[in-house]
Amino acid sequence: MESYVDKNNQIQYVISTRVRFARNIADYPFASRMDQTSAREIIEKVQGVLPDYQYIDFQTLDPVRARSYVEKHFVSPNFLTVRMPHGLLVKDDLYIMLCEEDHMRVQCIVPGLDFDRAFAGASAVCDALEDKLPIAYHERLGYLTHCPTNLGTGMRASVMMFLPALTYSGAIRKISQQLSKMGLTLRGIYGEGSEESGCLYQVSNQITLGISEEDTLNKLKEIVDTIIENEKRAQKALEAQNHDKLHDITSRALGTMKYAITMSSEEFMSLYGKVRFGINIGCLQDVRYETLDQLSVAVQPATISLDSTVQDAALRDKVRAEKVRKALCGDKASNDNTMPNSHIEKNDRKE
Amino acid sequence: MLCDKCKKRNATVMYKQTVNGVSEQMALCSECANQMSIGGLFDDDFNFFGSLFKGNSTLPTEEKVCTLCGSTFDQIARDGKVGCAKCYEIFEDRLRPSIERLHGRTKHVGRTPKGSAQRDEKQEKIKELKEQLAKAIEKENFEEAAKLRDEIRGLEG
Repeated sequence: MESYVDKNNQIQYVISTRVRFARNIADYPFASRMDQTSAREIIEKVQGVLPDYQYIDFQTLDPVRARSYVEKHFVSPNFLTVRMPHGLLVKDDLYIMLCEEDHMRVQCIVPGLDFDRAFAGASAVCDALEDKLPIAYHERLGYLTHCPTNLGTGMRASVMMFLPALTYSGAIRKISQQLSKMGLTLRGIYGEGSEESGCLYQVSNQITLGISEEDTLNKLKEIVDTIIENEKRAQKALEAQNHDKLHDITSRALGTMKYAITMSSEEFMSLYGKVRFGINIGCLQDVRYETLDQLSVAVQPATISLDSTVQDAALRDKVRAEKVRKALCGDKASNDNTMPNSHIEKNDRKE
Repeated sequence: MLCDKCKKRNATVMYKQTVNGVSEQMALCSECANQMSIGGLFDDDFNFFGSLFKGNSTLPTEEKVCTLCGSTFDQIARDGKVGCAKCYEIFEDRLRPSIERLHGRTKHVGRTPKGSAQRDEKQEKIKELKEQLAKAIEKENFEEAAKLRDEIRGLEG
């Protein structure tokens, strides 16, 4: 696995890039009309095409463990409510949800800003599936999907962006409104209302019919570059106004992370935003992006419970603070530079 | 009040989300609220499409049933989800206005599932024909040009 911070992949502003395709096998009903036998057959067929993937059976998976996959953004929250047989196929940076809303949701998730790599990864899987399976397709409507919002290419491309200066200056709202006029969506991650604390946003395409994959990606690339330029400008403006104050706020946030004894999820996200911003503006130098980003997944409620068998919220806050302390105090010494794929639990693996 | 999402359990919480600066409020049961509280990465459409369909579902037509999955148009409109690939053929006329409202367009552009090798071959052929077309026009051979134009149109679908 290559280094987390490499080439010019804008890791300061972009946490990860994802491309996903919705695909269905012709002649099988979609999820809401499917029976157990069909679901099992679909899973078997896809596994047959991709035999070297690990299969994680979500029908029998422990609920806390299943929830932690949602926190890692490998599966959707809806995936946990599916009553039919369903599961996740995993290999490297590829995650394929089987029998979610569509028979197949092929996703490729890569660190930083890299649409080309994410697109190439997911496309190659689609090619392999299309060679062996009859894929539901209509000449005029393109790839047929359970929900018509995905018709056409069935492709949703997105980036998870870190935009502290635009958040703190309030400019993010205007950008958000402008994007919607261009067929793109910007939404806060980690719940609405709390987006201002983590400063994390997802930017994705909304339209999938009548625009090719290539044009969609080019449009997104252009927009993401523009947003990054805006973030840089807003950052400069904030710094010019009060560098000492920013240095103080971000350093205090790091201090709290390093020494707090108990910490809620909300507090963590707020500190995460400030500390990551501190690295961006050069105030904090002994913290790494990947340490913070890996923590942001590792300290989510289900993932914490998974690691430490802690179910009680108050105890969880203590464990969270401890994890944060350990990660940050040992930051210089130990970093494995890997993407969250290493979060796949060994016990879940079925060859 | 019933939950806006599952429409089965009683709603106990109000959920507010803001996408692109537009706020939407929903009444949810605790189970559905719990599912929605994280994972904003997955932009599931919350029966958005179902609400778009409502205008169409009142049209007085005979009740057609999908021969593959047994869906009726009313069921599709209620769920906001289409039953199977066949439904798109059977209910094509009634689905079209909503699809157009949703995407602004009705004709797919981009990948086709014929395998990448065949896709490349087709693109190659189109490119070749376009070159011939340009030459034909240059030589004022309009009969030939018209033939080539039709052939290109056929390939481009």
